[in-house]
Amino acid sequence: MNENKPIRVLIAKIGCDIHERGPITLMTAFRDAGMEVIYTGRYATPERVVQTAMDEDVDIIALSDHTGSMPIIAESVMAELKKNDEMDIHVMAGGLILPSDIPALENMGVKGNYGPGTPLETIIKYTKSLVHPV
Amino acid sequence: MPKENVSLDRKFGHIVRTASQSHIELKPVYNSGDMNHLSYDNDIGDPGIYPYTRGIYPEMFRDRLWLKSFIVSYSTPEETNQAFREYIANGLTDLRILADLPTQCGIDPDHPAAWNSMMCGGVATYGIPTYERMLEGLPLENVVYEFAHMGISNFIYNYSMLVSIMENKGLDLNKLHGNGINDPIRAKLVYECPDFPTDIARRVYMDHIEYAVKKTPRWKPCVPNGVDPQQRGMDVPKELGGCLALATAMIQELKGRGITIDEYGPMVFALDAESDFFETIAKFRAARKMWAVIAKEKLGATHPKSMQLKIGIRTSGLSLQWQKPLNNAARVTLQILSCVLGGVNSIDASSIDEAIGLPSLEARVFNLDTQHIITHEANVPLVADPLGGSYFVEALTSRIEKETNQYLNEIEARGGIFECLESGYLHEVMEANRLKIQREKEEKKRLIVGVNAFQAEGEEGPVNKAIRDVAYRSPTIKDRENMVSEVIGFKAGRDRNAVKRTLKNIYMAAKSGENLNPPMIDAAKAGATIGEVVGIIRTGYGIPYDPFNQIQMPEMVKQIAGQGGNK
Amino acid sequence: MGWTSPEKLIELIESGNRRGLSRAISVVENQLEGHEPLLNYAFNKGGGASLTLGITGPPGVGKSTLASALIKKYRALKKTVGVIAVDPTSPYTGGAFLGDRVRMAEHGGDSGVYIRSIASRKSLGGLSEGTKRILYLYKAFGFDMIIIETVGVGQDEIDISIMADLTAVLLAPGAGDELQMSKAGIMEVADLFIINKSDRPEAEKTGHLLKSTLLTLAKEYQPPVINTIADQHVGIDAVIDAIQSIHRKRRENGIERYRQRIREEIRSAVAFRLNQEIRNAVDVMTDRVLSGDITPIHAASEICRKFKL
Ligand SMILES: Nc1nc2c(ncn2[C@@H]2O[C@H](COP(=O)(O)OP(=O)(O)OP(=O)(O)O)[C@@H](O)[C@H]2O)c(=O)[nH]1
Ligand SMILES: [Mg+2]
Repeated sequence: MNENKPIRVLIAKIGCDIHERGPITLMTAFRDAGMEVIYTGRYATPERVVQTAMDEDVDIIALSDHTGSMPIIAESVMAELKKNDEMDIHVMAGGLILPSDIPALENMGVKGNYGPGTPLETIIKYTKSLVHPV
Repeated sequence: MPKENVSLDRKFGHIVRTASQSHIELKPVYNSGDMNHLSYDNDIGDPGIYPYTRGIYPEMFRDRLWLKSFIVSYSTPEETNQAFREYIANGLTDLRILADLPTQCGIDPDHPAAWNSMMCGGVATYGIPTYERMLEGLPLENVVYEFAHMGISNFIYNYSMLVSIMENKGLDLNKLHGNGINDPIRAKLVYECPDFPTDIARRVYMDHIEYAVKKTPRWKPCVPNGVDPQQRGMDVPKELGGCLALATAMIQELKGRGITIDEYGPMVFALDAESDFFETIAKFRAARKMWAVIAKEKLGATHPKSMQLKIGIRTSGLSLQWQKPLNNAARVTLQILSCVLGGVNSIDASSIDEAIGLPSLEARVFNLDTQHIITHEANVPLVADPLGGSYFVEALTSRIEKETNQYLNEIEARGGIFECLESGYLHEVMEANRLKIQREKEEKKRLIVGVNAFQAEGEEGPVNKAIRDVAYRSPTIKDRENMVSEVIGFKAGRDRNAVKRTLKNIYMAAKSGENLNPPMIDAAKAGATIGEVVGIIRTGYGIPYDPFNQIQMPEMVKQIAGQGGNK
Repeated sequence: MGWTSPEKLIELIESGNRRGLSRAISVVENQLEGHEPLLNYAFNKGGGASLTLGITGPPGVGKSTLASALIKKYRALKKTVGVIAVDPTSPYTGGAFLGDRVRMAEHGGDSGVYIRSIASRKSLGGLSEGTKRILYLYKAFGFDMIIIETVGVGQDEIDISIMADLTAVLLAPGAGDELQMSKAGIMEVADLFIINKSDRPEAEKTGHLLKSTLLTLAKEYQPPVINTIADQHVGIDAVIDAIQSIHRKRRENGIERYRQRIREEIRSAVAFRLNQEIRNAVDVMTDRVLSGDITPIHAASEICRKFKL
């Protein structure tokens, strides 16, 4: 039965970043790929995001940011996950990710790290493989 | 065309769509029959003459070239000041200011929600010292300042800081020149800006407009914005219709406050220059005509100036691509060209590295040079409205006008633009079109070079690489920590009584309905911060002090509210 | 949180651990290993103290906003609140966008409020199945107040009204009134009508219209009609008062209603299983018909035979 369980994703926008077109496009794409998608809305905090992820029992948190601050954002989310002993929730990142920031993000355990213009299919395929490794 | 026939290699030579970007079906050829329903005098007219379809000045760009403006927004006041100086030295006199994202939301840098995006997207202009540092040594008269923030709180507050500084220096407020977007529809529809709920935003935006019209006649306190709704999904008739509907509502409400459209003067819109070349040109022509007609027929304008629409442009940031960024040079050039052919008044062109990070100065200069080349080498602006009379352009202009009018009727039938915002109708329309566009891209019925078609094989060349590698510096943890301590230090060092007294005046005005702008100017002078003035207005309305519901109201505000504003 | 045994999950729920509840919901919703012991535990524990309110109505009418306003009031009364927010599953892709939570964001940091967004997953046997199982867990967890939000589309309203102690139907002022009201079922399920968005024109008119439609019902069955402006927290106290008084009345004929609910719970659980079985059998038979093996008529009677019909 397990493989019938739809993948649940929380799309999170932390801080005051206002660029919503990316996460919204991703939301529709995830839904159309058969996933159950929850969105924090803009202006969320790391604590809220992790609490929501736990309450909603999601498989993945997808962080979206277009201010160039992903390492700072991801770090606070990872710390919050660790605090709650929830390290098996996957964390993905996308948006304005600077190539120079990717190693640091990968070190923290943040996956995907998709810059602008990544094809949606790439993101979806990878997301599925995270939850159902082949 | 059947999808199987669409080949996407470089030899591909077919056209995949027959409709414009806004889904207006186009014929292969237009002829005089397509203009039969138009009368030259009523629908088109010479430039400088009602209904201004062809432009608002008789000789258009020979009278004056369009203004070249840029958003100048770096992390610190000092960097921004330096950039302003460079731009002014390069002959630019139109400076667009943006605050960082937390400020735009109406909170201070020491607010916990500010941390993750602090100093991103602009300067943390939380209070008067930042403004003083940012504008240090710059002329305040006869330079055009523009505010492009999102939150309604920011326009009245930043304006108050500008006015405070000018008053402190004894400068002439009649010479304050510029504008602020101050568009409450955009603030909610596009940004869901947390500073104020719409009812408060509507009051604050009108208070500011009323005050500015009276005190600073060369400051346009409201510039209905179509750029951001368009980028979020609206098509051309809806972009334009939204602006026209807001402008109409605003002028009508202003009338209720005893100010006529003739006193308000020309209207200014901020419109988007998208990639669809002719549609964009036709949009500008239709916009001018439609506003002229509304101003005259519906709003009772008697002076020709108050029937004129000035168009400020922001070229489409969304059209710019991360893949093969060099191609963005072609996109921006075409967009600028459409603006010049469409007779706009100011152009803020996106720069070719904008899909990658904050624009570099070099990319900006490239934009400027593009505009110079169009002017001085290509000689495009020598003749006013050079496309006027083209069967196609006139037919398309008229078609856009028709569709926009239909949308305006729909808005009216649904109770007006604010009702359409509140009921979710605007969101629905915007989201439906956005989805449609997204599908078309996925199905390759809308080709974006380098993205879903004509992708380059193999490695990118050195030129593209160089554009991609522009250093983007996001503020470090240290920068942010410094900012927080700066604000805390500033708040501790102010004249507490003066801040409290001025905040209390805002609180009382919020409750009594008196205009909020005068006490706001006093508060800015006294050193009250953006977070505090937003909070006190909210408190006056009986809603939580903090837009994010995370922090307690400061002691000082508690005292003001506890006293119910009494002595 | 990795795989956790039902015993452990029960222990966590007993100790009021939200994460335990949240994982248990996934287990029962997806019928993962251990779901039966969990459900049995939850059913036996019962939830006599909880009050379950169903909120239903057309898309965008303000259900989530009203829920959020109610939560605020109940929290001020120190009551804990659990919300089940149901959004439709796309019939084409099986995916769903679960958007109600955004409207209740203000309660995100409150440890006395638990919100779970679920997809209706219609294809798996109707709204009632997943929601019902989750509701058992909510009751076992012991929330004082449970709110179930569903978009009202026919069957769902009836499902929700059987599961909930009482059901509020939300309507917006204006167009389509007659249509909405004459819609079969809605009058029977509503214990309470709420005209939300009463800041908009015609709110009063809609209220009168509705009341006059309700006159056809016997007086003791006429549900109250309340006007609210949910996003401005106007009219919320009236809603809460109405809930309390209806609930009090309800308890008087509680036994009959309880019996009806148990019947429905058994029925829907059986129907769910049957549906699955029948679907599989139909798939098999479809292949056989397509390969020219048998006719559709044969196929149907063979399935009926198999299920001893
Ligand atoms: N004018 C007005 N708007 C309201 C009121 N209540 C809610 N809204 C707005 O209506 C919109 C939809 O509200 P929701 O609470 O999401 O509605 P819903 O019924 O839960 O929607 P779905 O779950 O999508 O079916 C939001 O923009 C709310 O702010 C009200 O009383 N008056
Ligand atoms: Mg909802």
